[in-house]
Formats: sequence, structure tokens, C-alpha cells
Amino acid sequence: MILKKLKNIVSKSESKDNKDDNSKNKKSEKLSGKGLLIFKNVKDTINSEKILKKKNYEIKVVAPPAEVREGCDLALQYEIIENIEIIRELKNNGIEVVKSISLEETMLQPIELVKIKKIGDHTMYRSGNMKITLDKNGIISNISGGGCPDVPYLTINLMNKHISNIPENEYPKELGYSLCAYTLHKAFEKAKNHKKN
Amino acid sequence: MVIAGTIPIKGLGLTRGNVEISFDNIRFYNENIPENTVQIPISMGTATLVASCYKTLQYFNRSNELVAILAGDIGDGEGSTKIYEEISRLNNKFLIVHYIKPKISEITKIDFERNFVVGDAGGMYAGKAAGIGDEFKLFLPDVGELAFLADKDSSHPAYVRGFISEVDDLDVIKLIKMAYETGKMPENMVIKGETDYIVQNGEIIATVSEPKHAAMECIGGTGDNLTGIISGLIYCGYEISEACTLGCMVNREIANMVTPTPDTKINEIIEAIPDALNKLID
Repeated sequence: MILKKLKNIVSKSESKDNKDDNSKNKKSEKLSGKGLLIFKNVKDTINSEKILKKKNYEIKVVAPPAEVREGCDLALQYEIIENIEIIRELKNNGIEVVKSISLEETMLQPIELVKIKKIGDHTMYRSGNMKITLDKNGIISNISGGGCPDVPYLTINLMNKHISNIPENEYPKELGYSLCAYTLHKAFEKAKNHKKN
Repeated sequence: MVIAGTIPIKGLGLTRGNVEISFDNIRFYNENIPENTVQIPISMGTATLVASCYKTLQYFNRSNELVAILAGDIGDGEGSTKIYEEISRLNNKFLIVHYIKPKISEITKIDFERNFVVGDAGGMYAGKAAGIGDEFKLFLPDVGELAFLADKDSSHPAYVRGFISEVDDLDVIKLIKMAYETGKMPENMVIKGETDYIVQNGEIIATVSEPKHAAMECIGGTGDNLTGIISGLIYCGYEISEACTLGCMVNREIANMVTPTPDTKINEIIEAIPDALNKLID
């Protein structure tokens, strides 16, 4: 419901822009693959826009609906695929994103569930399309799944290391950029906690 | 035959050319580095696809026909942009688009009329998100990725509807139907998993489920390996559905030969491709 309103509001906002631009084509801009970043205040939104535009991200400032406002009346529309890298870029610049929302469909949410499967002495943790496998000592013996370029990079960085000895700045969500990295991090966190307990 | 995909080396410029394979790495020429030759381990991703495809073509004495378009990318999209630009100029090629940052605006620039295009990993994600899956000749998803293909509104496997987020409980047959109801799927698809499904025009024409080796699921690169074998077989003249079925059988025959554990590395699997092909091809 909230997201339907969001869509309407974003569409209205775009329609207004389109009238200004006198361009009919822009009216039908698709929201597929788009999301909204919500900030705690206007200043953060405006600063974020400056930072991200300098880095050539495809973003635009839009009005969020009252239901998701956090004391701010501006939000950033962005490409969902760039979620993790945008949030980290802003964090590196001292800006916290309060919430990120998909504009695609009311039922679309990032996958949270992690499944655990024993294979002999090994344990595989799967979140969506990403899998991480530990041996009985907690060493990461394999990583599989995904399709974004940071997955092989993360694999090289994480393989053959003990999951409890990996420093926080080398976690998948810190090294990665993509939604695959985000999903892998869910499995990584689960594996780390499971091993610890 | 062209394989286009990223390599996890930050800043490595675009490379286009032949590759060489040794037991656990691929080597290729790159004019931007001092020694001119880049060597990277076959761990997963594009390097694995290149190696498995090379081994398959080598079986038919055609490995010198394999060209790789590679660029360094650790996720920021720098190398992906260069690869998209390069493949938008291809004409009359058998092209596999592999690990790459999914970009809707870039994947649509490929000339699908003039090239035979296979989509896997990021190439498949981009094709689906752009709504042009039907322009590809073949997709090779695993079951989780099939759920993404079946969800008409999802643009990445990390965002799917609640009811298809539990991969273990998925009804593959129903998902195949849902995916093809979108009208935006390729004519051919292989769903890689505990049972491999070979699909043509939305109909399951074959399944391969024996022998089972549970460890294969957690070995990074097994899916890439299967894509390499199947693509190699198609390129060497096998009819698409025949190549898909035979490729799945070869992959399982390899597992029989290697008897993998979760510690097994993908290069050990790739090494067995010629023997498995030899056993299954008259």
C-alpha cells in the first residue's frame, strides 16, 4: 500500500518534471530496477545527491510519501543494483541511509532467510542465490552462486580463511558492491554466528 | 566463439584474444601490464567458464577458436562498462555473456539479430531485467535464479517475492511455467540443480538427475563449468537440446570420476572434462 503510494507520488513528480521539459517520452519512465533511499533530514539528502552525482550514479531527488518519512521531505531515487555501493559511498562520507525501499513491487523484499545444510563434515549456508560452505573447523572451503563481478573477487578474498578471523573491513558487505554481495553477507553472518554458538 | 566477462583484478584494462589454460589458472595477454601476460586462478566466474569451454573445444581440436573479452572489475562496474562497449560491436559471433555488472541500458546494445547469444550469471540477470530474455538463445539458471526469472517484476535474484524466496521448497515445474508466461524467456533453458531440467519453448524435454553428488552444490564454479561444456558442444555442432542434455550428463560423469567433497576445487572438475566427454561420446 505504502509502495503503491510511493509509485504514484514518484510518477506525479516525474509528470511534473515532464511538463517542464515538454517531453512526452519521459512520462512513461519505468520504475523497474529502481529504489528509494530515505534520509533523516533534507541536508543529508542534498549532500548525498551531490556526492553521488559526482560519482556518476543515476539518481534523482524525489518526494517520499508521509508514511515513510523520517523527518525529511526528500528522498533519492536510485538503481537498486547499486544499493550496497551507494550506501557505502555515503557512509564513507558520513551520511547514514535510514531506509532503502524497492519501487518495483509491493511484495519485493531483499531475501533474509538463510538455509543451513549439512554435507558430511561441512555445512553449507544459503541465502537466495548465494552459498558459503564451512569445514568442521570453520574454514571457508567454498563460495558459489551469483553473477555480479564482485562475487569472484569476494571468493578469492574469503576462501581458506577461518570465518571468525576475518576482520570486519573484509566482510562481504564491506568489500562488495552488488546485491549478490549483500545476499552473500546474509549467509556469511549466519555462518559466523552459527559457528560461534 | 567469444566469452565476455569480468576478472576480479582491480584496474585491469580490456583484453581481447586467445587464452591458455594450465592445471589451475588461465593466462592471457594484456598490453597494459609490464609482463604483458596475466595469470589468474580458476576459482569461479568467468575464469572457470573460459577454462571449461576451452577444455571442451580442445576435445574437438577447436580451442584456438575461443576468444575471451575480459576486463578487471571487482564490482564497481569499471570493467563491465568496457566489456559492454566491446560486445555491442560484435557481428556474427557465438557469444556468452557471463559475470558482468547487470546494466539494462547496456545489455540492450548487443546485436541479437546478428549474434548467437547465451546468457549466464550477470549476463542473464541483465537480459531478464531488461525484458529481452527472448532475444537470447539460451539461459542457464540454477533454481534460485529460476525463481528470479519467474518473477516478472524482479530485476535481481536478491529481490524476489516472499513466496519464492525459499529455494528448497520451490516447485521447479511451476516456476518454469511462470517464467515462460512472461513471454520474455529464451527458446532454450537449462535449470541446473539436484535434477537438471532441459527446457525448450517452456516444455521440459529431458531431465538428468543421476548420479547425485551433494557436494557439487557447494563447489564454486560448477554451474560455470556446465555452461562452458554445453556452450562448447553447441559451438561444435550439436543441436541445442542435445548439447544441453549431453552437457548435464558429462557434468555428472565428471562427478563420478572425481568423487568430489565440499573441499574439492573447480579446477579438479575441469581437468576431467576430456575423459568424461570421451566416455559419453561414441
